[in-house]
Amino acid sequence: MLSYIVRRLLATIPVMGIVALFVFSLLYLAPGDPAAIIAGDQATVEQIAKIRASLGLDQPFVVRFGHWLWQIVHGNLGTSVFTGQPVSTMIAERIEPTLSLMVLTMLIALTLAIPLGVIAAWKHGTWIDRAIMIFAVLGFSVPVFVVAYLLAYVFGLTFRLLPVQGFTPLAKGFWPFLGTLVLPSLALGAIYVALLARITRAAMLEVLAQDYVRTARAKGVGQGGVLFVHALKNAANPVVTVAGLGVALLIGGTVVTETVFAIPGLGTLTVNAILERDYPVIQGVVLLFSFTYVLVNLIVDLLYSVFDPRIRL
Amino acid sequence: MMKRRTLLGAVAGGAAAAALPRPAISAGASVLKFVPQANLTLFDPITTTAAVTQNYGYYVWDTLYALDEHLNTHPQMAAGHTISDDQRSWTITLRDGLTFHDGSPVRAADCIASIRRWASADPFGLDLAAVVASYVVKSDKSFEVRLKKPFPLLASALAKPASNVPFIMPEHVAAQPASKAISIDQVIGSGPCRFEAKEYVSGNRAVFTKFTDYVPRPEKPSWAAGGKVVNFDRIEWHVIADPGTAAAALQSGEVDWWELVLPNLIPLLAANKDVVIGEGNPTGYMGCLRFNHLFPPFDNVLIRRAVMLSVDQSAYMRAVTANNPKNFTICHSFFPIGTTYGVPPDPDPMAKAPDLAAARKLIEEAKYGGEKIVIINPTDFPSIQPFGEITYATLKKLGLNVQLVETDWGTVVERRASKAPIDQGGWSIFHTWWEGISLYNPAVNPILLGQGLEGWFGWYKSEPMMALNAGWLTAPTATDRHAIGAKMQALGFQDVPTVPLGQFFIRTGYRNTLTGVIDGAAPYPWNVRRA
Repeated sequence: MLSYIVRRLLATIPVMGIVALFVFSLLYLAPGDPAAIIAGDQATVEQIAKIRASLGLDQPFVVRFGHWLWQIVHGNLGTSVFTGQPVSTMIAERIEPTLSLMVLTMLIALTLAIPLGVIAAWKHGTWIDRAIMIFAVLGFSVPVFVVAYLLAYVFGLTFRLLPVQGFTPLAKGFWPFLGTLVLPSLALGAIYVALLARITRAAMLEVLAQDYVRTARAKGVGQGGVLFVHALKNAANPVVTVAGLGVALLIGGTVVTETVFAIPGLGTLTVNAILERDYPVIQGVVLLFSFTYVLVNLIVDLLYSVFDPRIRL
Repeated sequence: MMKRRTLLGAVAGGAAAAALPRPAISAGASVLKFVPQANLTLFDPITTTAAVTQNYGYYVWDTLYALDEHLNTHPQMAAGHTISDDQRSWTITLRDGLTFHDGSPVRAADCIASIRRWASADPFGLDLAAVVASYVVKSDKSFEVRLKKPFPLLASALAKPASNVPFIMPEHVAAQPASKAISIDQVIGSGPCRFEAKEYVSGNRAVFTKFTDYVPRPEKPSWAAGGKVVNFDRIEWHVIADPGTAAAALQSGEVDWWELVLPNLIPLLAANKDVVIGEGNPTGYMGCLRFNHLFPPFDNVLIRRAVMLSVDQSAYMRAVTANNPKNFTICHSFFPIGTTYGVPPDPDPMAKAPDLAAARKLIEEAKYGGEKIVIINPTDFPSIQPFGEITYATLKKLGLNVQLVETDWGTVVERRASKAPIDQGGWSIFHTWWEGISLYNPAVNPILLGQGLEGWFGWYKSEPMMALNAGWLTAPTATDRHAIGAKMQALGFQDVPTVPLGQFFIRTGYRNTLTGVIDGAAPYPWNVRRA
């Protein structure tokens, strides 16, 4: 398995190279000029040109790409054309909020969705099943920002239980940290609860119809044992696949949530960088996201073999 | 029916949530939490004209002169000045106790370097630079500006209230060209607040602390003039991009002051007894429609006049003020109404606008040949986007061949710099708005000045206009300047370099625990205190 992991990790290098070239080319060809944004509304064309030259944005594609690649190879993601800060620092500052939001969201999603899916499958065709599926449809249908506003209104403004915006780092205390994450995680988690509950239910229904489940019941295994020991483990692979995809999708989902709750994470960093055409920041963030995506896929593949020993890597 | 266990669970959940601390809710007495209009990403108020950078600039740096609320010029860092009999030499003396945030004293050499840098980028500064023969250091606290010819507005230029503001920086910082922005590590202020670079997180937070060695003037504050007494130990800017969230944060008391309240949210906030809706910037914001003068059809003055006659300012203004007439004023002027030059000409050329019949007649007279008109319009800028849509609909009604290109603001600002013809990526019209204070006199008014290719996007060229401007700059008295300003206004309505779309006001909102908020050209941090 170790050689498999090493091979997969090595395979990320050309992937990242292709991503780097693609992103750089795309940004080069895309309209927009950070120099014009920096100069502001009152600038003249001449002033913009001077700023562009001072930033090196007037250089040809090959020179700019070569310079950037050289920096990357040396572990340097460059500096923001606006703030002048190192991109790596800007990313590092934002990993904690985004990672915390993602972890808590997935925790909420898995904790709620799997039992809900199992119960829905167990009570298949009853009002409980239908109620869970109605909730799932709602979770899919209501946009994240609507859920976010609703939660902020109820828990932030009406009952004054939780802050409506901001982020407190873990270093400043666990409860303040958790307090700022609860509402965003619930808002972002709704769709994943819905998604995973439906997948769990579908996978469980298929497994519950298998002969070995009937055998387990015939041997006198209790309902809990059947559901959570025999059935759930065999239904886990589709759930793991979707959960893995969910982690990747969360990267996009955090953009809206971070904006609504004013969380200084990678999502808001990306949006701001795109709107301002802060090329080094966009490139750095996309590289990070691509690497995360590859890593999540690797973890999902490894988990397959854990849940199903028949799968050999 | 709710079962006992369910009820207990719900209560327990509520209690657990109640036990969670609310970290951002309580603000200490000496901390002011402020929501700025945008994310602060640029630290150099000379390289950029971004309003958010200008506002941060007022925290961090001070100026030699400043304008009060009546637009009168007062010494600020300057103790005063003397002018030679031939009017060609100004000697400016600094007041005592001026210190940079690194502890070094503010010297004449720092002022000269700062003026030079500012004057290489700012329109008013360029006017000044054109008449400066030399700067001479007389002592650490005094310097002389030698002029090629009299420049009565020197102090007014150095009191320029809006971007670019001639802030005073250390000589070694101001030595670099204006095209190269100063970095976050080079922010060494001369003003009442120190910028805490280590606490800065782009898109989230900028922190300022009271600079205890700052010596305020003894006078009462009036806009950027007078005593800049900061009553908070710490001022935190919390960037909240979503207006709904900013409104919620203000209502819940998580923040104290939201700089620019979205017009749609004013009724909601006004209904909250804990929130005060303040006037905000009294000079407001001036919407404008800018033509590209280089190519047909807007190289033809008759077509430009036709568009001006078709403009219904009320429609534009209602679209960006949530249809609230209290938040806008009709502005048939290139200068903001309520300022010295903001007086519509008599007769008012836009008095009958919108007059589509008259506009069509002018188009016919102009022999419009169906040339394509491209309006570049940002969809991510809610206070500009409706302008483009209204203009598009209006030009359609006039029978013009018009295309609305909707894109993001980043693309608009790039494309409007293009001098290429329409079919090669050029443009015909874009819209924007200006802070009223940015247009308060002819020298700083790019929507009116006619420098041609050297000027503002659209490249309106008018030698008579520039001659009038030159006369305004050297006019000996305010009466003379007023007369010239009126002539420039009249010429503007004849040539129509830009169409004024009205003047609107964006209100500010703060907790009723704050007093002393100055409704000025910027959200000044001084004079505000917690009641």
